[in-house]
Order: sequence, then structure tokens, then C-alpha cells
Amino acid sequence: MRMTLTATLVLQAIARGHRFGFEIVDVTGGATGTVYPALRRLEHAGYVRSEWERLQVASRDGRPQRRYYEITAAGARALDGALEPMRALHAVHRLAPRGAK
Amino acid sequence: MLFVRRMLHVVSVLVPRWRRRDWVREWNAELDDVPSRPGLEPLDRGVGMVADAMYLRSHAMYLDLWWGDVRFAWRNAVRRPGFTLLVTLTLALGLGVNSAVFALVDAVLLRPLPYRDPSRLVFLWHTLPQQNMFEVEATPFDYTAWRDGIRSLSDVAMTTFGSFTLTGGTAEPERVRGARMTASMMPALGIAPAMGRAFAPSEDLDDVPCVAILSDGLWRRRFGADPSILGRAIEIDGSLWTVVGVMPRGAMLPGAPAEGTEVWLPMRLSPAERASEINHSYAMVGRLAPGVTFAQAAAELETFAARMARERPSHARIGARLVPVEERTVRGMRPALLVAVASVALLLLVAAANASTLLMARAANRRHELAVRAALGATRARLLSLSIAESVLFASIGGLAGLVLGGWTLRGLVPLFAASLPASLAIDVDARAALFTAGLAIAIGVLFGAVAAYRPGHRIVESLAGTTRSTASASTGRTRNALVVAQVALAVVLLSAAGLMLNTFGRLSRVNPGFAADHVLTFRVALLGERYAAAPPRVGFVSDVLARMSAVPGVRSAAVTSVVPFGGVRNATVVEVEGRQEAAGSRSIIDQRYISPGYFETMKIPLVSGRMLTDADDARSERVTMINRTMARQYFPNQNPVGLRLRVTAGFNSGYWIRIVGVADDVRHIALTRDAVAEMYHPIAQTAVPNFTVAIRTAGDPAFVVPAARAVVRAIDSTLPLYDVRTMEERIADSFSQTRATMLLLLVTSALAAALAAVAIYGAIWYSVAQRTQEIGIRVALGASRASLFRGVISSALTLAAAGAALGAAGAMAGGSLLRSFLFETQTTDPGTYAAVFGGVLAMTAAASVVPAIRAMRVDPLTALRTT
Repeated sequence: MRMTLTATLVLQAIARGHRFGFEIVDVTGGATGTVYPALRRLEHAGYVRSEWERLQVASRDGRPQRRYYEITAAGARALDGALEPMRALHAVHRLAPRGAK
Repeated sequence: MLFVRRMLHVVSVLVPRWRRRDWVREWNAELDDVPSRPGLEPLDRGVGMVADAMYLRSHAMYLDLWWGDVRFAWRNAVRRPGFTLLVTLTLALGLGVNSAVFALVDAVLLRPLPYRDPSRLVFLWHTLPQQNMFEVEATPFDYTAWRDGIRSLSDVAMTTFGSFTLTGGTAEPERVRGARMTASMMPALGIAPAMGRAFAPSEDLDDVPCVAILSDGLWRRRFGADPSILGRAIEIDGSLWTVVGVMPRGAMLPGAPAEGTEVWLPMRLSPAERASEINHSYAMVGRLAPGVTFAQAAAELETFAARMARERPSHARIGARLVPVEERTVRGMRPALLVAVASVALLLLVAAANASTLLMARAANRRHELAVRAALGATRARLLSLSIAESVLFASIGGLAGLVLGGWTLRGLVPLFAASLPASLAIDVDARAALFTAGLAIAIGVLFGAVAAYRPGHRIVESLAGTTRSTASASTGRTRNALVVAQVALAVVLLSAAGLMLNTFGRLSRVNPGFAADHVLTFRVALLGERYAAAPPRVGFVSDVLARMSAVPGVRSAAVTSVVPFGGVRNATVVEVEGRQEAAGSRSIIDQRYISPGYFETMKIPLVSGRMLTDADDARSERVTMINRTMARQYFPNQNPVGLRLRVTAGFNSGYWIRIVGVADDVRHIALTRDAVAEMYHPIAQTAVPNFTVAIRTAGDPAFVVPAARAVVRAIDSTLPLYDVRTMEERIADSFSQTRATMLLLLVTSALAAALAAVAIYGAIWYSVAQRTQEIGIRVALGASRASLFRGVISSALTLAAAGAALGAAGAMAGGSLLRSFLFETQTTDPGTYAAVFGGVLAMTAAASVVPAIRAMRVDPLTALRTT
């Protein structure tokens, strides 16, 4: 799949351990209307997989079971590829303007 | 928030039913989450929910659409069962033969040999460059020298193949293939017995008890898979050996004959044999040491051999070379398999082109339907998807039928190549072959679906109006003609190859081997064990068996020879002529045979000069021999050899003079394609060899004498088995079995390809006549004669065929090098073959276009003009 900016952000958030729908929306700061479809696309592409939270944990906290997402090995590779140009951009961005001390 | 929760149930309708419950559950949890960010208000959540549901819906629709195409294609296929059958059968034909040949190629060429890291295994051969011999077996001395002296090999092992007689128990005596090997063999190959133990290094020498390991096949066949076989004593060549192991199924030694290795025995050399520098009868296998390349090891072996050649007189002028085991094992089959792969691949292309033409013809009939779809907004991609779904469906059904067909084909194919296939090889249309066929079917389906959907310049409006005859159909016609030309060309390639092979086969069948092969039965006998240790009982056995055989009704004469023509053995030696000074190294190799006096009469080999051998040439009289015409010509060009003496300079019969008493005519011994080599025939009564072939000339069918022959041998000694029982004609046929197998395969594939091409021509011409009905009607109205219409149709068909045939002939000549190794006295450009193929293709074309031409002749101008 094509790694759009939203997809990269979502994948990066999951890789950092944010595993739950609105948590991801929250940390990425993206619009809910784009984050969810991106999440689905990542799931179809096999970059993330999901599983239901254990029932005991949910009932202890007194809320419905959540669906948690986590990154797969293929997802990690794709994320790395997508971040590559951004890292390069970041390096250039940090350069001081020519002539400045 | 309550509103959003209500909305969840409404929006969930969008989500595909199979994941709806899951989806609602997930969103319930999402909505329950306490936001840390003030911006995440209920409305925002609602937007996310709708977007999610919409995405899932569109994804499902995409799948639905494709699934719909497949269902539509299936309904169409069921609605026209005749058409469906025709297309799928055509594809099944092409895919079936491909799956069978794939299974064969997979088993022989693609699967790794059953050894640990087989690419690191090598053969070590001696070479005699001056005699053009590059795979000479080495000696036990070399085994020790190479094992200890060559650092780039981590393992070296020695083996020698042979036949052994199993006796004892209630079973019939049986002759089986086997090998003796050093204890280092199994570790070098990385194999081990499935039961029991491997050989110990102490068993390389002959001062320990005899032990043996059985193949899985022998253990099951002769010993009923007896689980307590270990420790049991069995009789091999008349002495007792203790079974210490059973090999796993399919285990084989590299370089073993096709019958496999049934008994695995330790080397058991005496210390004297172990040191022999002249007994060149051992094959050596080595394993490259870790990190060493093949080139490095080969260089070290060559340097080592050069040093040996300088230092040891026994190794003067002897070189050495390394050959990868993988290369050697498959080398014999590779050319035949390449031709097989090429021929079935061409047939598949013809089948796919044929199916394309059929689908195009139907697409033309469905032009209206497709135009309606396009007018309603179907994009080109949608129409392509529809066409591909349809052709993939056909190809899949064809592939399934092809697998069944492939299983049948393989059952016919394997026996054809049996002589060159290791017996332990499992060849089957298995999961790998199925996977290959599936992949091929889908690829073919996508390809010809795309070809069939290709309609350049297609105009929706004209199609809808039904007035598109002029433009769209002209381009469709061109595509169709191109496909027909391609099919004819491919068929011509196959037909030419088949023709060349047929030519070769005819020439081989007409080669005179130098003896009369008809009505001759041959079988081998080996006299082993204590009873035949000395010469007199061997001579006694020979005269006894010949006397008894000659008395059998239906037997004209009987004789024995140590080496029968087309027996796969040569038994060469080096000779020296009395009174002749010859430079060392120029001495030549001459094949020698030991025969009974009636041999020339039985085989009908004519005498050229001198006399035949007689019963008087026995152990008490002067040593005599007969030479063949080739030897007389090569060694005594200006001399009458009869009366001269020569002696053998190496081997057990060296050291005494032998007088030449006669010259016999030449016989082709090795292959029909190879001229006679220099040969000597010694009387078996003077040198009683223990292994020989009995040849019997019969009055009727030689097969009828087999039971009598068994009875005769059993009456003399019931422990001796007959083996390798074949008529002389079978021996000759077996010697070119690969050529015959390749020819048969090409004949079948080319006939199928030609038939498909004929159908394509018929279809194309029929279609063009149908398209031109109006034009033909006008011509008739303007006064064109019926005969000229007939000629016009036939000649347009012939033009297509001629173009295809010319392309095909060029292709066949370009690809001819693939066949060259099979051809005998036939050039790849043989004009006769090409003329015959051309003639045949044009005749076939004319025949295929007669019916459409008659239809053109019968066009009624009035009807034709009125219908438009």
C-alpha cells in the first residue's frame, strides 16, 4: 500500500505503543475521518493486527472490551521505509542558514 | 453522546454483515473512552465512525464487484456448455502436458539430491588426456593419497558398483545391484541407515567379519520388512554376511546405475589391494572443505595429480579432474528434458492462442452487450476485469482437468524415460506440480483475457447501432489473423522438430549393427563363490549350458560372450604386437571379449579372413584370438594380421603371446551411432571369465525360450540366477530409448498443436466469410464466378498458413541446436523435413477451409443484400 502521511503517523503511533483507536487519534492530532480509514488500510495490508483486550482487564476497569492494535514485522519495515525521507528532511531542516554563526 | 450511540446502530448498516457485530463492539469501547483532548467531542467521534463504516463498505464493494464478475462469467459458462467444454478442454490439454513434464523435470532437475548440502559434493576422476578419456576411475592408492593429501576436500570416499547374487531362504536366487564403499562414504554424503548402523572404518579392510546394509526396497521385497533383520546372516555370492543396517527409502549412491543400490557392502580390501596403484576401478566422491571454492579444489587436485605423474611411474601421463556430483547425475537427462519442456511450452502457447480466438469470436457476438455496459458507464478497466474473470475461470477449470490429464500423461511418460531415471526417484503430479499448474493457469487466464478484451478503435455508438462491421471487426479480424499465424508458426516448429526426430529414428533403425539382431535372446550369468573359484568348473559350466541349450526345441544355436553388444560394457585393454617397437604412450586401447566358438555363427557375424575359433582352441593348445576388421585396418594397415602374435600388457591375462588366427567383420558394440572400435575375441576356454552373457538364436519368438533357459541353468546349479534377460532387439532399442522417448513426445505434442491450428484456421476463415457475407453477395451480384469465390477463400487461408509456416520454419531452425544432440545423420536444416512439414500444413489448411469456402460459394446475393 501507499504510505500516506496519515498512514505513517498512525503506524508510528502504534509502533510507539498507542494501541487504541481514540488514543491514536489523540496523539497524532489527525482528524477522526482520516485516521480510521488509514487504520483499516494498514490492517488490510498486514502492517498492523488487532486483538480484543482481555475481559478481566476491561471488567476490572468497568468499561467495554477494547480492540487493541499492534504493528507487525512487515509494518515495521514499511514504517522504516516511510520515515527514511522524513529523517533526511529533518537533517536538512536543522542546518543553519548559510553565513549564520 | 447518547445521540452518537444511537447513530452507531444506524451507521452499522453500512458495514458488511460479516463484521458488523465486531465493529459495533469496537466502537462501543471507543465511545466509552474518556477524551484527554477537549477537541474530541462527540461530533468528532461521529465523523470518525461514519468514515470508518464508509471505508469498510467501499472495500467490500470492490470485492463484491470482482466476485460478481466471476459469478457472471460462471453463469455465462454454464449457459453455453459446448463452448465452455471446447475452451476448457483446449486449455486442459496444454496445461495437462505441462504439469506432467513439470513433475518429471521437478523430480529430476529441480529437487536437490538427497544428500546434505549436495552442491558441495564432487567426483574425483583420473584423466588420460592422450587417449581422450576424461572420466577414468582411480585406484585405492589414490584414495589414500587424495584423502591425506588434498586439503581443500573435507571428506573423500571410494566406491565400486557391482552385481551380487542373493541366495538362501525359500526365495529364488536373485541378482541385485549393489556397491562396496569405504566407511567414509555415508558421512561424506550426509546419509545414514534408517535402522541399524553405518560401516566402521575397520571394515574397509578384509580381516573383520562380513557385514551388509540392505536398501529399503530389498528389505521389504525379499525379507518381508522383517523388523528383526539386524544381526541376521544372509547369503551374498555364496558366503554369509550379517545384516547391520537398512537404508531409508530412496537412498542412493551418486553415479549408481539406474537400477539403484540394493546391497550396500563395506569395501573389504586386502592390504595388498589397498595399496594397488594400477587397479583403476574405483569411483571417488569428495566434499569441498568449508570456505573452499570448486575452482580452488579443482586446482589443488590438478597440481597434486601433476606431481604424482612426475613421481610415480604408475601415474605417468595420468591427470585428475573434479566434477560436481549434481552436474553428473542429471547430465544424461538434461537435453531430453529441455526438449520436453520446450515442446509442451509451445503446445501451451498454441492452446492459449486457440482459446483466445474462441473467446474473441464470442466477444464479437457479445459486442452489443459490452457496448451497453460501456454506455452505462463501465470503464475500460471494468470491461477488462470482466474479460479476465471469464478467462481465469476457464483457465482454472482447464487447470483442474489438466491435473487429471497430467497424471495420465505422466504414467505414459515415465516408462519412456525409464532407462535413464533412477529407480528410487518418486515422480508424481504432487502439490508442487499442482501449484505450478495453478500458477500457469492463472497467468494464461490473465494473458488471454487481456488479449480477448483488446479492441482498439472500438466505438460504442456504432456497436449499439449494429453498424460496426467496417472498423471494429477489421481490427478484430487482424488480431484474430495474427493469432492464427502464431498458432501455425508454433505448430510448424513442433512439426519440424518431430520430423527431424522421425528422420533420425528412421536412420537409426536402418543402421546395420554388423550382426543379425532378430531372433536372439540374451541373458547374463555370474559364476561366483567357492565352487567356481578355478577355471575348469567355469569352462565346464559353459560347455554344459551350451550343450543343454542347443538341445532345447526351437533353439538354433547358443554361444557365450563376456561382453554382449549394447550391454553397456567395453572391457578395454592395451596390447603390444610382437617385434614392433612402439613409443610409450602411443599404445592403444583395444576392447576384448571372451567367447565360445559358436558366437560368430549365433550372431551371424561374417568371417573376413583366416579362420573361426573352434572347440580345439582350449586351455591345452596355443593361445589364439580373432580380431575385427577395424583393428586389422588400424594396426596392420599394410599387412595380413593372420599368424602374427600380440600380447596384453596390463590385467590378469597379460604376459603371454596370443596368435591372431582370423579377422571377423565389424560390430557396433556401444551405440548404433558409434562406429566399431578395435576388438579382439579370445576363446573363453583359454581364459575362463566368471561373468558372461549367453546368446541364443531361436527359430521363433525368442521370448518363448526364456522358461527353458531358466530351467537349463537351474538344472546345472540352482543357486545361479539369470539376469538382464532381454532380446537383442530390445538391447538395441534400449540403447536409444531417450531418442525414441523424445521423438514420441514431439510427435504427440506436434500432432495436438497441428490439430489446434487447423481448428483455428477453420474458425478464422468461417468467421471472415460470415463477416463478408454482404461483400460476397455484392460480388456475386456483379457477376463473380462461384469458382473464383471458392479460390479466393482457400487462397486467403493459404496465405495465412504460409506466413505462419515461414515464421515457424525460421523459429525451428533457430531453436534447432536444442535438438542437435539427438540427431543422427540429419541436419537441423534438413530440406526434406521442412518440405514435408510445409506440404502437410498447406494441405491441412486447404482441408480446414473447404467448408467455409463452400459456404462462401453458396451465398445468395439477394438474401445477403437484404439482411443489412
